Amino acid sequence: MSSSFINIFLIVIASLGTICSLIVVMQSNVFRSAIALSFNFLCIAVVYFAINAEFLGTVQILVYVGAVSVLMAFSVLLVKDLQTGSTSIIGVNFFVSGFISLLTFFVLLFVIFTTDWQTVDKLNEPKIKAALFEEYSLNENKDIMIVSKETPAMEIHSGVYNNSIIPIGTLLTTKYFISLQLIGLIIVSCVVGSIAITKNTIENDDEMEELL
Amino acid sequence: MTLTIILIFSSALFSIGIFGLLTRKNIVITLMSLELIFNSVVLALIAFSRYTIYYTLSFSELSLEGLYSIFSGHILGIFIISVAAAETALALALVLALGKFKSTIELNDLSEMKN
Amino acid sequence: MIELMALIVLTVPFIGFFINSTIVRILFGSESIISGYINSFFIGISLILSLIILFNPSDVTNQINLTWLNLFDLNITFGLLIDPLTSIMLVIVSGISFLVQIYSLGYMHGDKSYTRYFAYMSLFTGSMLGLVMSRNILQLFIFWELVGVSSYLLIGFWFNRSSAVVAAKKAFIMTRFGDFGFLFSIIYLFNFNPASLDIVELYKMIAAGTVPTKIATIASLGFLFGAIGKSAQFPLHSWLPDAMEGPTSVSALIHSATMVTAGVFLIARLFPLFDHSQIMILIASIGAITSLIAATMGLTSTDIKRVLAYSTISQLGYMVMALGLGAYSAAIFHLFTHAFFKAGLFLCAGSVHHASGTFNMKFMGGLQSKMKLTYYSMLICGVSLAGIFPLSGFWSKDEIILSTFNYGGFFGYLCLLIGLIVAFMTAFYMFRTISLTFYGSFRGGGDEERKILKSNNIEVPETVQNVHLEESPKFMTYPLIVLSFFAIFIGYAANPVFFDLIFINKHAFSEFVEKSLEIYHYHGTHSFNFTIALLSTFMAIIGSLFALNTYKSKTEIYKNTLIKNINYLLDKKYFIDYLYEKVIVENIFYETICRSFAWIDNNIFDQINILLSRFSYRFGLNSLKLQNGQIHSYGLAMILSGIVSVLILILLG
Repeated sequence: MSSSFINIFLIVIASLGTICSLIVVMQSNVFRSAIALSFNFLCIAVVYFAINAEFLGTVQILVYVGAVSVLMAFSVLLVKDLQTGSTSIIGVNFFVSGFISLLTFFVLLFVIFTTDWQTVDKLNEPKIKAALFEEYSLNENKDIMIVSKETPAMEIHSGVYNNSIIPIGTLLTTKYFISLQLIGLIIVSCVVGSIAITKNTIENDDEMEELL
Repeated sequence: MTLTIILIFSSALFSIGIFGLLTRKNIVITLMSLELIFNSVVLALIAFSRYTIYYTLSFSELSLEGLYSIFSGHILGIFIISVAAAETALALALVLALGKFKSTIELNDLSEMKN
Repeated sequence: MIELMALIVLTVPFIGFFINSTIVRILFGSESIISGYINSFFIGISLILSLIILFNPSDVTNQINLTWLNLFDLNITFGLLIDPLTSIMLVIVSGISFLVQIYSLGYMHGDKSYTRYFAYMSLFTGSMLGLVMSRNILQLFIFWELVGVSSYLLIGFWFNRSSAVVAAKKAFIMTRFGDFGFLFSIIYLFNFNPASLDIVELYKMIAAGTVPTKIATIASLGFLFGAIGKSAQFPLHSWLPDAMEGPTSVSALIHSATMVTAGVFLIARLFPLFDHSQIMILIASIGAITSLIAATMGLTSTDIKRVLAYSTISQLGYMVMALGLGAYSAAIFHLFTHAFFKAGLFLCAGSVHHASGTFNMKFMGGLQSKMKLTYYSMLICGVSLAGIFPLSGFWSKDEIILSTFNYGGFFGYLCLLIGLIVAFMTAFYMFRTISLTFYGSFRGGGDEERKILKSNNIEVPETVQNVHLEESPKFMTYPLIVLSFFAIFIGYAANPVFFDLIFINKHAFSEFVEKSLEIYHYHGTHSFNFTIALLSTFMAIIGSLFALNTYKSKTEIYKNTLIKNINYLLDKKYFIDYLYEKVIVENIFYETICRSFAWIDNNIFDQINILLSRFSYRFGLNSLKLQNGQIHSYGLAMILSGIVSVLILILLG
């Protein structure tokens, strides 16, 4: 029952997202493209929330919808003539790239429909099912056991998919700690770099006021 | 079934992103299509990590370590998102800088190669 | 001991060649007479050692046999083979060569390239000696080619004359053409059995019967072709008259006594192979035809050297015919005697040229009183060639004619008839030559010829020189005396037929030579048929008297148009030369074949080149558009290649 509900929901959201992305690509007005892009990001975030990936959905909304879309909109405003550039998109490129993108789509579809994805729906082992969706407990050797009558109440953990933030946090701080730091380093360097690039493009105060 | 739907969505986004990448002359819209492509990839990643854990978990012993490793896909997704965002910021900074020095910002005319 | 002497005999002329061509030429210049003396000294050593080898026969099977090439199963050995045939040939070659060296000391005196002449002479002598001593057919082929090269160098000695150059080229190419057959046979025999290239092994194999007749036939066809080329037999004979462009002493050495006998020597050496095959009749018929047509061509020639050249071809035909009929010792005996008197005749011709300044017999005459020594030498050698009893030529020629009679059957009697006719013609043209040259009155010589040629606006060849009618210098006449002596006595002395001489047994020569074929168990019949001897002498005497009568007072006989036409035909050498040069070379080869190949090369292969270059140019121009700096095209290319690789991965599983 719930799986069919999720399916229908996902179909609706997916079609919404597809329409948005088509608007992004086909619109001649740059602003409309930017708005449609942020809406697309929102749809994707909704999909994340439906797949028990709450943390990532939050990150998506924060980063993409909140920062990147705003960034795009601002850059459109800041560069002169950006919004009044040539707007026609029909050219030689149209049919060729259309053909290529359709080709890509069909190849991917072919792959999707001919591989046998071993999905969790077909999961049969009760231990794993309990660990993922229901409750589990740990015994002395830190092995996963099914909850039974003797398990004390405070040792019962809920299924991993029910609060997915705990494993993410655990992994980030133990296994992928160094990657985390590296990512921070990358972000800092990007920020510094972008400031360095755009430092000299504003010569005097008059331009600054004009921009603002 | 759910997995299939999400994957179709992801491939659609991917193809549309490619189409936009190859078609549009405006730099910003090209960057937007690039964002679309990134997002489709992250979506596929998360979908796989949620729905195809059967293989990694089918060993007889199940430990907490193994259980938590389902979420490696989520971690990778975080990283991709952050790097993509940083790179977009940098690219737009470049566009800004370019806009000051060149008269046009159309992709076709920005090239300085002969012929 | 014998082998060491044989090696010295072989290497000494080559040492002479090297000394002459390097030290003497560099240090003493090209006109130094030291080269002549060095040559004579070295070849004299060869002669003495050859004589010692002749009288000390050694066993064949354990002579020097060195491995030349040993590669997996391939094992080629080179070595020496000193059997009786070899020793006789050694004596002939070194003897005649020595006498010609002495002659050349006088004849080539004052020539600009004196040293070069003697260098080439010793090169030739060394190669010929190596040829007769070789144990392996491949080794023989190497020396065979060396002999051909030396002949080319010596015919074209005066390379300023275009006629000499053309003649040298013609000689070399024609003999080379025959060598194609030789090489084919070598490869064929090698394919059959690599050990069969060793002559002693070949004899043993044939005697044991392990060589099939078919293989022997095909191999001997090839060897016959090589012999035809080298010995100027019927299809490939036209190079020898033209080879008279060289110095006369060269003609004496090479084209009468030694090189052209290499073909006959080859057939004699491989006699078991030929005997085992089925082509003996072919050999005999080629020999017979050659002797006949060459004798007819000699009847009308006016150049004294050319008459002698045709005579050589005719006598070689005799030898080949004898070999074809199975008379091994008769052929070798004729080779032996023929070497002496033919060399003598050529040297006399050179002496005559020295005196009268011309080679054209129309302008000679009456030299009998002025050059007694030359006259008597030429008369003796001419009578010997004609085959008149009791000179040496009679004995050898008679044995050949006797062998045709003994062969019997239709073919034997046909060859007998041809032999007798040729004997008649030989005597005829020989005495024609002698009367035109020595009898009558002097008709002007070189000066007269030059006058007539100039008045007809024909270019005067360089052989026409001034007249000084006196006997030749001593160096030139001593060899003539020696050769005439041998021309008289060597025939009967070597092969007495009636009774034993002092220490020479009956049929000594024949039995000595046939020892070479001991392994093959060949036994020839030696007899003396009085009737046949009488018949051949009769033909010869009739021929000589007829010639003496006809040419007593006139120089030409044009009795009626028939003889005029025959004269014309013979003058044009039966149009064979015309066939070879004009029809085959010029028209068939140049015009048709070469031109069509040139067309193919120009229009097809060059066009392919041009098309390729144009194609790559266009391709390059069009590929330039791929990298135009436009991001879209780069992106297209990248994504397209990505999709294509994914597709390939999918489709190929």
